This record gives sequence, structure tokens and C-alpha cells, in this order.
Amino acid sequence: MVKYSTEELMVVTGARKIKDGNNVMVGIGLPMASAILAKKTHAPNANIFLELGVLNPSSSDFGVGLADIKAWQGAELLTSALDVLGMLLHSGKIDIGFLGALEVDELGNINTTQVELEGGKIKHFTGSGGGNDIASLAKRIVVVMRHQKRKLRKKVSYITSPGYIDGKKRQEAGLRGGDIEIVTDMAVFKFNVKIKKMTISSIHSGVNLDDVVENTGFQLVIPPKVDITPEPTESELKILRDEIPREIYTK
Amino acid sequence: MREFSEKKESVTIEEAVNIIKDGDHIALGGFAITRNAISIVHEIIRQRKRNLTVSQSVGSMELDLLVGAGCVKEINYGGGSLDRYGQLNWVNKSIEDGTIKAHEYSYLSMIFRFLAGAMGLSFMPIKSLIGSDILRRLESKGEAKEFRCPFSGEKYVLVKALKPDIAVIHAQKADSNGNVFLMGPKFEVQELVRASEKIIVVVEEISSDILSHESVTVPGYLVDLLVHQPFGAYPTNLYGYYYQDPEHIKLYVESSKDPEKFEKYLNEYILSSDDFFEFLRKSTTLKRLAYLESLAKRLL
Repeated sequence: MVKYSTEELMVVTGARKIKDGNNVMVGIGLPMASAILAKKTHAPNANIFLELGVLNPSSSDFGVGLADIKAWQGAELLTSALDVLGMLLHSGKIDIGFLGALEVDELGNINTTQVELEGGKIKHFTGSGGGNDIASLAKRIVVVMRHQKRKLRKKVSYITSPGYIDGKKRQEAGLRGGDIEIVTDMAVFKFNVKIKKMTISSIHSGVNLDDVVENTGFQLVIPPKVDITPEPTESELKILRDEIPREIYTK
Repeated sequence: MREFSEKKESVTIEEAVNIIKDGDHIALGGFAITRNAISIVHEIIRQRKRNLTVSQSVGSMELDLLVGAGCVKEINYGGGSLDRYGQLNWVNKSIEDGTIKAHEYSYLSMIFRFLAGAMGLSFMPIKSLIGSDILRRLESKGEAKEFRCPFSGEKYVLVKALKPDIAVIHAQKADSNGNVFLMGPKFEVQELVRASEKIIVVVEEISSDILSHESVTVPGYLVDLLVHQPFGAYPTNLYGYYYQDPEHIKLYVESSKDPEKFEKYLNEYILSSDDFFEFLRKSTTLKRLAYLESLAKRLL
């Protein structure tokens, strides 16, 4: 059996969420590697969009963020943010959106705006950018984040981007989608909307279930039989290692 | 608005900023660390403009500089950062301390606000923001409202149109009629300039040939003041022209973490500089600018 790193497993897990022909909204970082890998393997006709108006960049170095001109290199189209966020995302044509998070709660609500310090003082961070729009309007959402107790909380201190809000159906609230998954360095999670809880979908090979539970700030729903996250295939790993620079997903 | 096809003389940065009055509402066209109108922002700081309202879809170095220098009383923005170089330390600190009035949105809801302003609508329905604390706070201030479509019954949020007094953008090139060629992704510049009463455009070069009509992003008849300032977006990047200068942005991020260091940064780089070329001389070298330029050309 082939050996792989946790980051490689996360990239591959993210890539498999993308179907051929999907319109994908990503930022830079690990999800970008997932999107590129998907295009190079099972989803050659997927379209990768950056929110500020970039389609299918072919960069080998995405630099420091969306605003880095390295991230736009070799793009098939340079257009406007209204075109991408308005006329694709808002109109319902983005199939899957990848998001990061400072905190996520047991209902999949995402906070990228602030953290509460001890003593109740607030520290303000990046805020929404296109995050709220993507979480509200993409058909499916994948959140990629580090697994830490303080980041996976019973309730986030601020809902920047909605998951299942307070547990009602997203369509009733007026939001699109309803398929949300969380990929961490320990496990993959989905949501059981009936009982309003984050549920283990699979844990990564070599990770102990107790550690997942211990590092989560609320009670997870654990299915009777916990699956192992499907491992990368040799060909996925080969393409990832040969064709996608590590810096894209490890920085 | 100017007459069609009128020849456009360029003005100095100082003359352009003279039209901005204390208390004006300005819109900025930069995004994080790209295409920031740094040259104009420095002059706004030098002229000590006060009580500005600033609207920007995704906050940038421009916004952070203006807030840090005490020029701003109110912001409308959709979040922002200096990408991996750091946070908008002054914007964040001022929100935490309540020293500015901040209305936080998402990127698309800001774009829709500009679009509404550009089309002469007073509001715009959007399907974002629902269920978020962004909406909860906006609603409590009367800035947004939930709404049902009278035809379909669908749920929406209504956000208010933005009608800034002055839009400030940096672009690559203009022709002598003031037609502006904006290379790279356009972000929301087209909506933002059309929502604004007056437009200041800073460009790297003014071409004596008239731009081909396919290249025009902002037509000359919309442009009120045209400024020529090479490297005017430095230390942020400009697609096709120069890469950002990580060293200077990191220096800025460090300075913005501490009021005393920031005061020093303002004095040394901005207030004591007579013009933008002096800032460039203090911050970088010709050799480095040439390197940043060659890097950007390679990325085309």
C-alpha cells in the first residue's frame, strides 16, 4: 500500500467531491490543489472560478492569495466579480464551493469574522469576502480546516457564512444547497439535519476515534460503524506529486 | 460627466485630491494587495482629509492606510485582508474599539450595492446574507431588510444602493480622451465607477494613440480627473506592470500593529514626502522596481 501525507489525503478527498463538468469556486491553498487534481483526473471539464473574476488559472504558484497576480496566470478568462459571483453563483450555476473557517459549529455555520478572547474581548479578522455568498448560494459546500477543539465549537461566536443556521431547512430560510461537508486533518463530516448535528462521515486512516471526539468542542454524532476515509489511489498520488507543486497545499 | 470625445488633460495627484472634501463618501477600486490607488491615498493623508466615508467591496491596503491615518469615520466593506502578509490591522482595531462606524457586508452584497447605485436604483434584492450575523447587525441598524418577492414569494434581503461622491481607481493605461484600459480581472470596478458622482483615475501610462474600443473598460466620458503616476499602486501589484513588493508590505503590516511604529511609518514615508516619487525613492530602488516589473511581465 502506498504511503501518503495527511495533506495529500485532504487534497484527494476534496478533489473527489468535484464531479466532471462542475463549476467550482475556490480560494487559494489546499482546495485549489483539490480543484486542479480533479481536473487532471476524473473531472477534466470542471471549471475553476476565483471570485474576483478569474476562470481556470494554470499557475504553478498561487502566491499569497486571490489578489496575487501569480494566481491569475494562464487563466482562460479574466472577467468581473459581478460575472462570477452575480451571474454564476447568485443565479445558481456554481455546483460546489470550497471554504475555510476560523470556527465551525455543530450546525455547519462558519465564522471568519472574529474570535472571542478570554475576558470577552473581540478580535476582528478578515470577515466574509465572498465566503458568505458562496456558503449561501453554491449547491454544495466543502469546508476545509484544521481539526482543533477551539475551532470546532458548539456555537460559533459569529455566523459569517450560514450552514444550517438554527437547524431549519436551508430552502425554508431562503438559502440554496444543503449538502455541506467538512474535511479536517482527522476526519470527514456531514450533517444530519433532522437531529441538527455534525456527523462523522469517515475518519482518516491511522486516526483514533477517541482523538477526533477529544478534539471536537461538542458532541459528534458517531455512526454504529465508522468508515475509514477512502485512501488516495496510486495514480492520484502520482499526478498530485508530479504535477501539482506542494507549496500550493502546504503553505 | 464630460462631453464625449473631449481631450483630457491630466492633472497632478495634488489637484485630483483637492476635489475631495472632508466628510465626502469615496469608493476605492483596489482589492487586498492588488491595484490599490496608493498614490491618491498618500495625498489624501498628506492633505489631512477627515470624516470620510469609504466604501470598498473587499478591504485593501488603501483602506487600512486611510483608517490608520485618521481620515475615516465610516466604512462599508465586505471584509478584507492583505492576503497572507497579514490582516487589515487598523480596520480591525478600529472596529474592535468602535472608533469607526463599520458596516460589514459580503463581497457580492457590496457589488450589488454599487450596481444598484450605478443603475439609479435605491436598493437591490440579494439571496446572500440570510441567516448570518452580518444580516442581523445590518438589520439592527436599518441597513438591510428581509423581503419576500411579491410575485414568487421567494425570500430576499434588500440592501441599499451606494452613491459615493468620488470613485478612486488605479489602472494600467488611458488614452488622451481619458478612455481607461483596465487589464486583468475587473473585480467590481465597472459598477463602482458608474455608481459614483465623480471619478478619479490614476494610470501608469497615457497613450497618445486612441485606445481600440474593445480595450476600453471605463469610457473617457465618465472620467473626471486623470492622473499619470508610474508605479502609483506600489507596493501593491498591478497586473501586467509590476508584482507587489513583499518587503514593503511586510514593513507596513509590522508598522500597523503598533500606533507608535505606525506614526513613524506615516511620517517617514508619507507626510515627509513631497510627492509619490519621493515615497518610491525612500521605499525601493530602480533595480528592485525593474525586477518587480519583469516578474509581472513573466506572469502575463
